[in-house]
Amino acid sequence: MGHRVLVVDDAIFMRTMISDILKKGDFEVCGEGATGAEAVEQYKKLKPDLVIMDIIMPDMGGIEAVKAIMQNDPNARVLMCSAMGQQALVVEAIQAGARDFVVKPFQPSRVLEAARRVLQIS
Amino acid sequence: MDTTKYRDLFVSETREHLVSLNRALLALEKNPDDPALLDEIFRSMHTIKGMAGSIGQDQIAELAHKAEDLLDRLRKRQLKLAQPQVDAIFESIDYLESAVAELAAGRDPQQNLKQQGAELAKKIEGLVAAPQNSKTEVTSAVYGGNDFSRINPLKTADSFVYKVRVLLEADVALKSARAFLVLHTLEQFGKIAYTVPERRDLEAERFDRGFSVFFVTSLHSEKEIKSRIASGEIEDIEIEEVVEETEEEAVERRTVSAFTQLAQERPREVKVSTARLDKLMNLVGELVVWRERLKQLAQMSRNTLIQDSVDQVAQITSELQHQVLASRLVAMSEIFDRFPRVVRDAAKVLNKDIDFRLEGRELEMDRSILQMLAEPLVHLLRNSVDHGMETMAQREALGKRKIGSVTLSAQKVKDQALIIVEDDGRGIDTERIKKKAVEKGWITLEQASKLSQKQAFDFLARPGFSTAEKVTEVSGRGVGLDVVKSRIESMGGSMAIESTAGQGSRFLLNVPLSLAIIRTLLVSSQKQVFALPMSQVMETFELKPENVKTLQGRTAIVYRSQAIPVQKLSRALKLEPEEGPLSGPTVVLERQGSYAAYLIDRMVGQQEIVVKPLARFLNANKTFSGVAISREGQPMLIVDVNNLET
Repeated sequence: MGHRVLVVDDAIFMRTMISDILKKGDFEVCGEGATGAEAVEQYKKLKPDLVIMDIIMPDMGGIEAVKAIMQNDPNARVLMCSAMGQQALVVEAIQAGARDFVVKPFQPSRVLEAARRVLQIS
Repeated sequence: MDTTKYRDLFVSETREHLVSLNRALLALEKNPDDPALLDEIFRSMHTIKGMAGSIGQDQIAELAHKAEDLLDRLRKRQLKLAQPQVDAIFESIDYLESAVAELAAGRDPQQNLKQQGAELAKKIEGLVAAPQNSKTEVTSAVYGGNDFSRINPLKTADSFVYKVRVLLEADVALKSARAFLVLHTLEQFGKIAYTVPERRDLEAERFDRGFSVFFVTSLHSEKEIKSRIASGEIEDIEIEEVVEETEEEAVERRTVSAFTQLAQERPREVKVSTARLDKLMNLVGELVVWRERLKQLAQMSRNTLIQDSVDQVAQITSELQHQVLASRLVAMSEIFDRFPRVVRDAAKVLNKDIDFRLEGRELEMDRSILQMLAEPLVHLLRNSVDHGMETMAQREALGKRKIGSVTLSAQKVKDQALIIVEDDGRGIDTERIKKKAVEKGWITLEQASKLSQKQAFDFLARPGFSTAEKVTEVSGRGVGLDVVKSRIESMGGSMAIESTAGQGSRFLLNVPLSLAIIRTLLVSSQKQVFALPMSQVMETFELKPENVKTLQGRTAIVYRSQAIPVQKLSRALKLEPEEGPLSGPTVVLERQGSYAAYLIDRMVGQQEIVVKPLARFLNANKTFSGVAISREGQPMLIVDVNNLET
């Protein structure tokens, strides 16, 4: 039985790719979002086990979204996606409560590994 | 313990540390208040000590230990940094260099060296024996030492202290964010006393890929801590509980850890002996020759299957050649970084103040060429300081800046490295050279008056010439520019001199970046094939008899609106004495900015060739720089254009 994951990224391409990776890794993608605002809204509605979210998005960025989600559920597990060179943003996201991060371009194994670790399943 | 197998490792690592020691110490002389420099020097000395102790080189360890003591005092501001201390550290570096050289040669340090070491150790002891604080710090925070002065305030009744070592993966992206995640996670269930490197260095990505965290927590489970901080891109986590240790224990641990630390810090780099690299280079060289031959045969076969396969092999060979060449490249800094010391020492002896600048340390070139360059460059630098530079009083009287400037620069120009040694000293006195040349009986007074500046400078590099009025400690007897010139030429390079009286001199060295394989133009003359380095071939064309002129009894043609000498290559190579008609295929060659044209029988083609040095007796007249194997497997000579008769 797969853990339920919410995938948030403003690029459809990235969402599709992450979703495919997760499905192959026995996760269930329970919802998708394109903005930080959507992420917060979807989180409240779906209560997923894990959120995988981009840092830079329109209409509330990833960091604001992490803060909002954590406020809603202090035990929320959020995994950030970042590009090279976004070191400061990643640090900010961790301070806001993100559990881990993966760096684009993704290797599928890295994404799954990080997701499993954040969910504490091996 | 069998220490011999560690000896080479010790020698090469120590040498690296000595180079950085020299550099840092020179920088410290200029910026005595920079604590980072002292730390760097201290760390290098400390590592040398640890390594030497581990392989039983007690004397080296002992001296390094004394020097480390001194540095530690300086670091903690218990002693003030002054010239005697700096000199003592310089002397220690020199001593260590000599001792390591002995070890490298497979000998134990000789008696006189031992004595020198013992005396130096005493001297440093004297410098250290300054007023002592009643309580000095027991342990140091350098490289994982446990600094309990920073840990103890955080301890509570039910807390435990852990040292958490984290090794990130080699290709980690955003490594300081990764480090931050680890620290942030730890802070969720404990307090961080300090990290090594310091936190600000971790945040600024000033670390390799490993760091240690000294962590105080009430969670008493190494396994649990490990699982909490595990995240992506971490190769390894080691956790150990630390308890306050005695000084002896601390020293013991640091000594033992020096090697393991080295092994952990550089797992991605392997040291390969230069002999093995040379062998590899030679094999690839042979492969390149056979590739050329194979290509030719494939073309003759008119079989496309064979041709395609050969093309593939050729491509792989090229890539292999490229990789092997790249593996032989080292940065100029490897030898350049020794030079500030050379200049400093020379200037000090001569009581001159010199601002020495290095440019192009990062340029990479073949290791063997770089090694051959070291000596000529030391020579030129010492010359500049000794002969080129006026005394401070003279400079002042001339209205020049009191501090002289010497610059060593390297840059890539086409396939070659252009290395320039430049000073703003007195310049070269052309009249004095002419006078001397006349005195030596090399030219007549009349010839002397007609000499161009460039021709006059040529005498400078002639054996037996020296304008230095006295023998000095710095430059030794004679200027020895002839030695420099012949060394550079033996590497397939060239030297040029530029100078303006009163303003300074420039010595320009052109040397190949890679010695082993050069592109050549193959030409035939008198039924023999010769190779001309492509870097010196300017142009080829058919010479018509009507274009040949006679100027001052010499045959010449006009090339780029100047008259340049023309003759048969066979004559320049002394293959045939008689003159034939001057027409037919001609090649224009460049040497140090001037041109000369040579008639050949025909153009044979282009080839990349592997240069093998020519036995000295075969090359008494210096017409050839080496020998190579042609596609047909025949040996052919590489013409040394710099020494070709014009």
